[in-house]
Amino acid sequence: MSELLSLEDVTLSFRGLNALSEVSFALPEGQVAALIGPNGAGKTSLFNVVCGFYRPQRGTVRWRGQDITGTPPHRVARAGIGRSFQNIELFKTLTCLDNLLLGRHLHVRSNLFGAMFATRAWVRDEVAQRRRAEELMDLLDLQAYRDMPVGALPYGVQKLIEVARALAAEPKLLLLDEPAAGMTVEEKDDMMVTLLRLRSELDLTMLVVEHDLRVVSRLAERVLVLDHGTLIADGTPSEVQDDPAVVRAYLGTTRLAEGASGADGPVAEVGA
Amino acid sequence: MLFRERYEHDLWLIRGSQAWVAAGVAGLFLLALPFLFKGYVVYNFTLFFVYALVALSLSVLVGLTGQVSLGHAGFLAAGAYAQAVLVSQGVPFLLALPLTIALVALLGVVIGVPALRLEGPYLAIATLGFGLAIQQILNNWRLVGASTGMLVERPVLFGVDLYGDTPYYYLVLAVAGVTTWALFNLERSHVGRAFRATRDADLAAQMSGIGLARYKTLAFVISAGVAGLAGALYGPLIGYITPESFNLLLSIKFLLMTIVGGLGFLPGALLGAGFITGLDVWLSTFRSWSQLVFGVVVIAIMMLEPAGLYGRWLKIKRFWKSWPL
Repeated sequence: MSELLSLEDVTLSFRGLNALSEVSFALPEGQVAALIGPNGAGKTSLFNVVCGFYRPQRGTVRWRGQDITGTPPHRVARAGIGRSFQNIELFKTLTCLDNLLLGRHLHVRSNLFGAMFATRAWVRDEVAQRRRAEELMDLLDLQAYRDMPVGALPYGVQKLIEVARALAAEPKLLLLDEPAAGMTVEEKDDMMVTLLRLRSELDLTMLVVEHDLRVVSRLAERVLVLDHGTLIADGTPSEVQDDPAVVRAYLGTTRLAEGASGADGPVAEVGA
Repeated sequence: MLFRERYEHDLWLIRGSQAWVAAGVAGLFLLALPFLFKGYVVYNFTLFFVYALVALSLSVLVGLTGQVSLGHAGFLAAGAYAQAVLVSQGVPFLLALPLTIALVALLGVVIGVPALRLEGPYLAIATLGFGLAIQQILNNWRLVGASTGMLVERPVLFGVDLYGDTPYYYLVLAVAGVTTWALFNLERSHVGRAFRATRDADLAAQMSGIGLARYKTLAFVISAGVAGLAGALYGPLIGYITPESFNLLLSIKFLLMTIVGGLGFLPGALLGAGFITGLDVWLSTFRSWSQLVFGVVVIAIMMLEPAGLYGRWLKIKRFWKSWPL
């Protein structure tokens, strides 16, 4: 397996406050990793560094070996990184279909004049994009919401449309920032099943921020733990669960209770 | 048509037999208009087409990308003066038209790039400054007649003298028609979607591969270009242009057209332009009361229907579609 994404000594600080300090890890192609950590640990900051929204003070981000540190987000997207956001960032007044079509923006081949004068080539290209968007809606059971403005849809559906829009760009690496946050247990299960299915069908590399250890252990083969901007653990879900440093990060010095792997385990509650 | 069976059907600008009939009737009416009405009606419809172009250009900028402009009279002025100067220097009218569009579009880049750093009310003030600056520059520029302005003649194209209101009406109808069609095409394409994306969620737009700077500037360029084209047609229409005719009030009137028509919808800009132009003509018979009535009507529309005339039209359409349920 070749390395898709790698971070080397990435340090990001805001006015002297370290959001990330010397974070290094590499993500091989095809791996699904979870990124966990208490609130304010720097998970979203890490995503923002990878996507180019923030430029780290030190360290490099590499994509397939190439330095992409500080590359603007739309170029990062072009390189093959897709992302969903923690707080829903959908195009609220647009329909579900339009949101997915926007996800396909990178693949549009026609230019401004083709679009303005509705040339044959433009029609062919637009239809091709629409076909892919419809396929994706079929895959994720979103057809019912096809022509509805997404701002009015239920929370869980909006979260799913966000994932769908990221997928529409056909990324090699998908960064999901709490795809199941704020969901009911039922919605969470649905999302997990969907992500598992996507993983097997689309052969994706994923980095997922998630708090629910039940979800994490089923979805990811590797868990990265951030605390105060430092990577404190990196291993399989079971290794990480027993790691004393992780337990300390989440619960202070108290011992981790028995039901940690259950749906209502304390780890699931902390930081959610 | 009840069912859409192919993806192409989603791309049609006019959908359903009723819409085709309506579009056909409207088209025939506009083509036959000079034969049905007197000269001043023809003149006012020509003015409406010109204003509709500006309203559309503003709708692309304000409605689609959310960048407010209070300086569109400036682009209109730039277009009118550029065309007048080019034609007076011996450039053929039809060649001067694309040159004018290019020139004013370039001006759009000049305004659009600094505008990237500004949003909302700040951008409105900056564009307001631009509109005033254009007026001041023209006021002091001897080459273009300074405050006395310029005489602009209507062209002779392919041996046809467009001096009369009727032939000029057809020229403006044709140019405005093609431009409107092109802008509607643009709105439903990936470019229109990208414009809306930058307005609704800029983080997500960037992660979808949309360069914010590129598309926001592009919106300014297209908007300025279309407003410039409108200006090029406006000069010969009124026959005499002065810096004073492109004042702040005109910029505000354009913004009013897009808002009253329905912000964010291009058809709304057409409705708004028609409504405001018509209201102006109607109110000119009132004299002293006209400004007051104008204000009351506009406030009433905004209170009763914040989504504008087009929003009201959509509601009526939905009502009839689902009637009698």
